Amino acid sequence: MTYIARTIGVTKAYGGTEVVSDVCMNIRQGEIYGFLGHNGAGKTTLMRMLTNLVKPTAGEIELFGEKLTPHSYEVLKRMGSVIEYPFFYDGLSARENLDLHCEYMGFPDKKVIGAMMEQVGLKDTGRKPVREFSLGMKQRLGIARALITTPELLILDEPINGLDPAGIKELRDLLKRLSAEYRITLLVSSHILGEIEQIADTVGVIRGGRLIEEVSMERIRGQHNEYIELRPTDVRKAAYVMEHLLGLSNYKLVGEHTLRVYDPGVSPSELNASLVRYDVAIESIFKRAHSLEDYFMNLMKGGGDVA
Amino acid sequence: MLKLISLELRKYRFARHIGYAALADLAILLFLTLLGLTDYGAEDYAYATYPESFMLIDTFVRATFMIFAGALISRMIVGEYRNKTVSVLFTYPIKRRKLIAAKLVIIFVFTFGMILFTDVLMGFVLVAVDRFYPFIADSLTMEQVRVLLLEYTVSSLSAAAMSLIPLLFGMRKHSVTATMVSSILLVLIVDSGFSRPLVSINSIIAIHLSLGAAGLWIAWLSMFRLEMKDVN
Repeated sequence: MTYIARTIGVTKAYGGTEVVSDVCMNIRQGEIYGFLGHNGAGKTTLMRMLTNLVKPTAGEIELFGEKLTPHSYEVLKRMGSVIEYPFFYDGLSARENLDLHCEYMGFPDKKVIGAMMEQVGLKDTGRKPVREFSLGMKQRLGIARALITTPELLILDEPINGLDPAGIKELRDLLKRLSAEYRITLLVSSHILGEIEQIADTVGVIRGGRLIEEVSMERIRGQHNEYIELRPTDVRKAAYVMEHLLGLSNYKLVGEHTLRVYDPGVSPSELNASLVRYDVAIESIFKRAHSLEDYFMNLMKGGGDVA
Repeated sequence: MLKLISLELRKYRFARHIGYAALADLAILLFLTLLGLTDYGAEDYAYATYPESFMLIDTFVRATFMIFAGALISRMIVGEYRNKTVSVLFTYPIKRRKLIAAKLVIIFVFTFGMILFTDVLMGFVLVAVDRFYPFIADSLTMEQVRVLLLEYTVSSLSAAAMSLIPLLFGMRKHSVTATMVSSILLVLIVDSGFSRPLVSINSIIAIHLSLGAAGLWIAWLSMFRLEMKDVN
């Protein structure tokens, strides 16, 4: 397995407070890595560390198989990024910004600028300074800038911020195409699960600076996530009956009146019948599938009630 | 390095600063003319002798372009941090030290060039005007002109070097205000020595040279440890 980027126990502390703690992240070649976490969870700091803007307090970063040091410069040629907010020399036009970027990156092929501007829908901005662009336009220009030098690793921090629904769809398609056709490895962060879920191959969840989960979407989708939710009139009695008389131990109390039963192979009707036999009245009972959303929301919030 | 300098010039559309400098030159000329006209005949006339006149010119020109340099530092260095474009600039595969050095070279060369050019230009105007409407008591020898050119060169060099001092204060909190205030204060401190009988010419030169050295030292330091610092 080839890793494009790895962090090994990376920690960043500001004045004694850790904003990123002991993160071990593994980004495989060619995949789309979705980086999920609330605002302030440490996503941006980690991405800054990957682009060498911020130095880790402890731990190591490996990019393209080589250790990243404060003096690594060559490796930056192989990366493109938009971190936190698309910043530009805002007195200059979109084309001038892209042109300067190519010069600094040492990328000779200026012909791609026009094509790239067309691709992100900024072809008609002419001499208009970037200062007058909307956030959505800046976001597109930022992506154009990150992409224009055909990087092997593309790092995008909250790329859908400021985009309208049509723009989001376009971006999603673009990212998928970059991954599928050009084999570009992508690290995309978001606090919106729906976005990550639709494009990512692997999801990393960060909370309070810790990477609490790193899992392939395939595996999550395959996980057994069904349960039965019931509201008995007497929760205690129901729990006692289930545990001691029916032999169902994999259940959980949710709120004050609701029970969730995770044991496989039990149908709601059977459970209902058995409980009634032991004189437990049931107000409602139904079968539920755990959505991915629940799964991640729980992780992000820090709840543990996931089977 | 030349490539980086040309990119910086493009990035800030530097040509327009030459226009601003021309405006500044006009303002200096106007000011010096007014001073010559209104003070004429006074006991402590500013243009009493050639050496005094040339020193007056140099003082004004230096003050103007040292503050101009402060504005350039604010825009090209402090501004890069303030507008956070530095987080793009520092992800380029180019040593950070070189990126900053390119900016400093532009500011230094521009300040030096403009001071020397304006000094010589104003000096020339002075001599020309005095030819037609004599108002300066003494006359000018070729020897004096040669010394003057040397003095102007040294003065421009030291002024360009010391105008990098505000970098130290401006970069603390990436503040444009701190940069501008320190560059104005610097001008006030340095140029207030002029025409005070207590301060000898030699000590003025010593002050200028040591401040110039300080400016270069600060510029030098600002280029180091950049790779170790976080860009937030």
